[in-house]
Amino acid sequence: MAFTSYEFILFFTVLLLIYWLVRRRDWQNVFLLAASAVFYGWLAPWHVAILFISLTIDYFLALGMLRWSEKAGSLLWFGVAVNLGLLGFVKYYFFFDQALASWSSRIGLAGDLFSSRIILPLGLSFYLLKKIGYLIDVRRGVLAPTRDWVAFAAYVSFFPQVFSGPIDRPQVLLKQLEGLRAWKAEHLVYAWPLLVMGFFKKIVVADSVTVVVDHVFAMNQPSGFLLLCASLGYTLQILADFSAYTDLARGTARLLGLETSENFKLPYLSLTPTEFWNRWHITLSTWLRDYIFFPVRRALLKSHLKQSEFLVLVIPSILTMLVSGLWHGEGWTFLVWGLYYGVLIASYQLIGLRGDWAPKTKGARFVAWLVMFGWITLGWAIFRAPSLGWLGGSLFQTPFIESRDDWIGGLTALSVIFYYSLPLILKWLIDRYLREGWLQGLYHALATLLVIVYVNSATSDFIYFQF
Amino acid sequence: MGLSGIVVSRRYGLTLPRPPGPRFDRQVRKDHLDALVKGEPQIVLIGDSTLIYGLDEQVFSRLTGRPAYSIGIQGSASAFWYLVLRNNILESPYKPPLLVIVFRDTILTAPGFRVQGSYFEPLDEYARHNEPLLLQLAFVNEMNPLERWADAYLPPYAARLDVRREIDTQIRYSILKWTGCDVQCADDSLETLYNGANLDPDAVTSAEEYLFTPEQLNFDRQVDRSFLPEMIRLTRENNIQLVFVQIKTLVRESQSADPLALAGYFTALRAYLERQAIPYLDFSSDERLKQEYFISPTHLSEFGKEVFTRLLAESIEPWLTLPR
Repeated sequence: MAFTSYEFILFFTVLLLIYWLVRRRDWQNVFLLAASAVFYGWLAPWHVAILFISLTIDYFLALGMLRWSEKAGSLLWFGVAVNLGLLGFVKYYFFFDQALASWSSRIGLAGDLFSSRIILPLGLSFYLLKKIGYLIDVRRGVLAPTRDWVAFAAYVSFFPQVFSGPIDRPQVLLKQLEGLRAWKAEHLVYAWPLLVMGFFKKIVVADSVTVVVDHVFAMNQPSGFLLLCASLGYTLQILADFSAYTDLARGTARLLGLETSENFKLPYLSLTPTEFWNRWHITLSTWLRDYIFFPVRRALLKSHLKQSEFLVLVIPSILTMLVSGLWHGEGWTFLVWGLYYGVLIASYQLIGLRGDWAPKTKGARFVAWLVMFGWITLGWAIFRAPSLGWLGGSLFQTPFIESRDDWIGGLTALSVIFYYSLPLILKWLIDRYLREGWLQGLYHALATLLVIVYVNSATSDFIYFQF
Repeated sequence: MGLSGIVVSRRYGLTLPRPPGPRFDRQVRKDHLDALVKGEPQIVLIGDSTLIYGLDEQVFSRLTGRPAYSIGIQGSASAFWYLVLRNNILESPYKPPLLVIVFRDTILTAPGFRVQGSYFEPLDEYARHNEPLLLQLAFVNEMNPLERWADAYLPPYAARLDVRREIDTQIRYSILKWTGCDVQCADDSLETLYNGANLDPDAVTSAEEYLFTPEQLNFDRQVDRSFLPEMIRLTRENNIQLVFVQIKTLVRESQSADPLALAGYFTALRAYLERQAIPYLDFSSDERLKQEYFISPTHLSEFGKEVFTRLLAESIEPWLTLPR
């Protein structure tokens, strides 16, 4: 069920009424849990079973760590192995798929008996990180395990976050679920702009730019110019799409009286790769920082490798970003994308440009920003490319502009990207300089109007862009 | 919202409440009607680009010994075919004795496929001002209650197609204007750049997912919501022999649709057409149309076209009852 669907609007309206009418915290959590089960299992009900079985295992493992502290380490490793095993199986399912097909046909079953029926659970990589983080924090003693299974299950399966985050820590969300919630008008005041901007960025900006981007990335071998235009388009699309999801998730959570974390803080204004990852998908970045980067760095500093400043700087960054790449998707493009950011972060740090680095003059700041924006765009090209061969072919084997059609196609794409990025730039300027003024209200009113115009007025079937 | 309602209503001449669904203009494209009168073909074929890439009209005419006229409309689907039948073929003083509808996958019973967005304008070209069945099947049935309400009472939503078209035109062509490339020049270039043969097959097939959703694979649910019964009725009333031809594509193989549901759909379609005494020629899994004959998941190569044209000419022979 998508946030922008009719079913979700009905579902959420009914939930909201019941949720605030029952008032009691335990019943609110029960309804929240039931709603999350319906939301998550909308397409494939058996996905809910995986979610609830796996979270129940983690719930008891955490309690077990408290009870048998001498075995806490083993219990943690068991929990992490179960979660990663599940994630690995799902992410790399296609490797097993063919073996499964050949095995099933060998024993006389239809070759596609499994592959045709298994829809891989969405959002698994998001909720697994929540659970692993919870287990590690319990093991470290920074979090007491909860004895409230309903609250824990509602935390892990919390429907606004279950598909695409934010990956809120238990200290943030579980704590609120264990506490009392009361309806306040400020929930609506806070949620409304988030919901408007979420719908606007998704329906008006992201879905419009997608048409151009998908066309180029669907070509057999686009020219370098078209690839550049499409990469710029994807840079806009992925921010609009992903931050829209976060806004909608945060807005719906707030209507339920729950505050969730911010995930994007103007990431494309970053001057260094470290700063970029401090501003982009913040809940994932902090998760990776706290549970992979810092532990690896600490381990290196304790080991004999501590003599080498180079290795202590390079290994944690590369390892963390490789994990990030693997987490984002299966295939070489994601791995190389992770490696690319690992090398980039390490390189900037080696020359002394850390996350808080900023040149003193405006000109130098502009150059630093332009260079970083170029790195970001190239990163998204790697991320979005169908394969590395495809990307290499476009970058190195085709002329930058092959024909007049390339030129016109590229300019059309740039035009679309330019116009659809303008409202986001305008919003940034209003937020920065006129936050309290009437312009904010006018902006939201116009955004609402455009959402109404753009919803259902285009087709996602992009093949015949030009009929 | 109130102010925008007044502005939009005045600009686009809306009076509310209005019946849900888009409005069609008063022009109807009649080029096929003119061609029928001029050429008096005995066989008329209708379909989408798979027909354009799959059938050689001249060779087909020669092989069958009857003049044929092929109406292949790029990107079209059942709503287009219904309109061409109703507003061109049946309006013509000359009516062909044999009408062959070449379709693929579940398009025949997917009335909402390819009618929105960029497809609307070309669809409108074939539509009369008043098309109640088209409105109901292709648009209103596809709307949920909230959309129907918004279409009737909310001016920005009711006028969204016009507003969107204006915005899209401004955005798409504004920079190009400075380079001396007008709308036609831009459209021609984009058409060349993004034609089917230049696209990744995976992307082509993923755009077809709509045709393989559980709802679309439920023939019994879809048939009365589709143009199929009306097309049969119209041709029957006008003494036109209707033949349905399912062409082969490579789209279906890459879909994640349940194979049992897919098989069930085609069994039900076959049974339905048998009950209506309508011939149904199924090439969807014909081994003679090999994978290498395709230049994209939906389009045959020149050689594939030659093969399919011959196969169709042979298969259609039993229904060519007219004197040569």
